[in-house]
Amino acid sequence: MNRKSRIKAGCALLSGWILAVVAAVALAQEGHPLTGSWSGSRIVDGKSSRVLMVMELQRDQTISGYVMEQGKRAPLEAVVLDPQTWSVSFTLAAADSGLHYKVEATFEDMGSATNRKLIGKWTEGNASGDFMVGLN
Amino acid sequence: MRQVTGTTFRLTLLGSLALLVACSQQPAAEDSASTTTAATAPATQPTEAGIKPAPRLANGMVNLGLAAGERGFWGSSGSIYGRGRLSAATNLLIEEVPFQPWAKALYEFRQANNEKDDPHSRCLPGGPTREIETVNGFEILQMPELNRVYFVFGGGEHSWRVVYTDNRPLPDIDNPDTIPVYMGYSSARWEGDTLVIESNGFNEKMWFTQGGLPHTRNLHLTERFSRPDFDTLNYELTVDDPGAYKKAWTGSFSVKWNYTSWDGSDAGEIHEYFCQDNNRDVQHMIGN
Repeated sequence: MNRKSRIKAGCALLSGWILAVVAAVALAQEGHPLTGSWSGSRIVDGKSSRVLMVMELQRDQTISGYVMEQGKRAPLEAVVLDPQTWSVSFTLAAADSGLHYKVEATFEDMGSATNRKLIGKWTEGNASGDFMVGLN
Repeated sequence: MRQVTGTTFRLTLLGSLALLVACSQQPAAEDSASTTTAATAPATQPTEAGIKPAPRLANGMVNLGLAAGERGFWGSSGSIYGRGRLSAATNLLIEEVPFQPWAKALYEFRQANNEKDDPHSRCLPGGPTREIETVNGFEILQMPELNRVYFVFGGGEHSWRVVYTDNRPLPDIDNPDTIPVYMGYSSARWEGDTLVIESNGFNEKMWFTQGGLPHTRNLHLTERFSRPDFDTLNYELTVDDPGAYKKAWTGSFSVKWNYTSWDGSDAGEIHEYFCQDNNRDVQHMIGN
């Protein structure tokens, strides 16, 4: 197998793994309220930017995941859920991701597996706007 | 691969169901050495105290289900938390359940909203414990020659569960090929007269008990079924889910034998009921 073939095979394996992970968490709806795949938008300068997000509860009770937007992908950092208020915050801060902002949101229709939403604001420096995603 | 696995799984389920139907149609006389439910010992007689002992199969194994010459099915049950009626006096109270903080808040949210989002009220399966708790009863069919125990549920979506007694290992839930399912993957053993079932691989699309105790995909259940007398099935459940609970915990309840059908007749048979048919529950699930 030459180098090109190995790279192709590696990409195929990686793509399969990512799809499997996304499919697995996409099934999650009644467990931890953040776990699952989400889609929606972020309003930037009055324009809607499509946002895809995956979140999953880990065994140590932390939440991991990532956001995909404008062809970029950024891991979630410092995900905090306050179950007393059902408020959520997280940041996208990885230096090489191209996405750097903070989100503060709260659940809407939190108990619903089909209509659950996260609605709030994103901020980056002095810029800010609406952020809204729904559970897929 | 996942699709192939899913297809294989569905074919396995269909095959198992076909075996179940085929076996249930076998005349007992054709297989006198069989240890299926068709080959049970003679009907049990009450003791002097009026308590009927648990029936046994021809091989001496306790029969958790219907015995030849008898009628009825398992009916009312209790809860794995809270005490009283059919729930064990040793159960944890709900405030003693070792919830993770988010799980406690979610449970309280569901209670505060009158469980309006309960998937079971939308006719989705509820997992093994929830199905036992659901009204309309259930039957247990032991088929040792097939290394299977079947649970046939009369309530909810009128579903069934297969438990394997061939010492198979439970799947690795971190393997992407392990598809999370409602009933989980179950492997059982006998400890004396107690059927011990270990299960994992549950999906997160259901509430696994009445009341909406949360769980995650890490849920591992250990169920212990015993029949101290004809009319009583003891059910003990150990919940091990570090995603939703700080430590494993155990609760138990009894299930009572039901001699009559739900229409009051003495046939003692589970009637046909499908939640999906004319379901009027959802429109009433409005919360507060």
